[in-house]
Amino acid sequence: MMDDLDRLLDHAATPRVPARLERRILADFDRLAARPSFARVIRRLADTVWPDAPVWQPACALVLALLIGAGAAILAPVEAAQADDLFTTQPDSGPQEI
Amino acid sequence: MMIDPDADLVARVGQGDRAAAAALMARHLPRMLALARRMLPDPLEAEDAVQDAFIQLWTHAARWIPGQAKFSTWLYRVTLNKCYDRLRRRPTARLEEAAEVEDPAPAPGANLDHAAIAVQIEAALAALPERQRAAVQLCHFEGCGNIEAAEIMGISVEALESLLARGRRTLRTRLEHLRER
Repeated sequence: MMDDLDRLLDHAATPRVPARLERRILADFDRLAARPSFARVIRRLADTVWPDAPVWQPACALVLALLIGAGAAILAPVEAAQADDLFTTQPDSGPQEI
Repeated sequence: MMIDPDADLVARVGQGDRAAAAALMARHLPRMLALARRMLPDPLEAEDAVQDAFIQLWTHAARWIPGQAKFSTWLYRVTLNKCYDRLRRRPTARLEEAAEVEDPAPAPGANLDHAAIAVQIEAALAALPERQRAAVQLCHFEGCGNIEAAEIMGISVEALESLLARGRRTLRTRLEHLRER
């Protein structure tokens, strides 16, 4: 509720923002933006792969792809190794006459 | 989920967008400077505190996660902490300034104009303990609600209300002569 103290406080001065302060703040931004940043590199990479998405989406897609790849690597070589064994043993066995 | 009006600008700042940085600065700088000017007696030091707060913003914008906290609350909290840091660093200076705070009461019969009233209000605000001053500044001048002001100051709502009540009581006493006009 507005009382007379509130009305009185409204007379307090509001500071003006000096232009030099705005320039200093933007100069800081330019200086920091020019500095290489790991987060910014990741952000750009993510934007290239998946524009306008939050970083976690391409990150999840990458993790999922890695899991699928790792799963395939774990399961697939069993059959391949067996196939290799069959192939390499055949030349040594030679023709067998019955 | 609450929609943060600054979320888009912060995300663009995180990507190095200068126009977004300028827009974010234009939106928040006046209130941040008002807060710092009220907290720090030296105007140049207040500007330095605000500049430090913006450096922290530029550095952290790329890692900002929307929805965790309201951006403006975080920004004012950073600003307030920068002011506290500077006040902590100069305890002896504070004591010297405390001795120099003007008595807001005018000479008897003085005819006060608007500017003189403003000066007396500033003096009365400057004489408040820093946490009471921050509470009054946030709730009265920045238009924050009690919950947001408490969040900015990192205290409970009850503690904020207590600081605010004590600050207002002191101001009422010190500015009594102006309220009767």
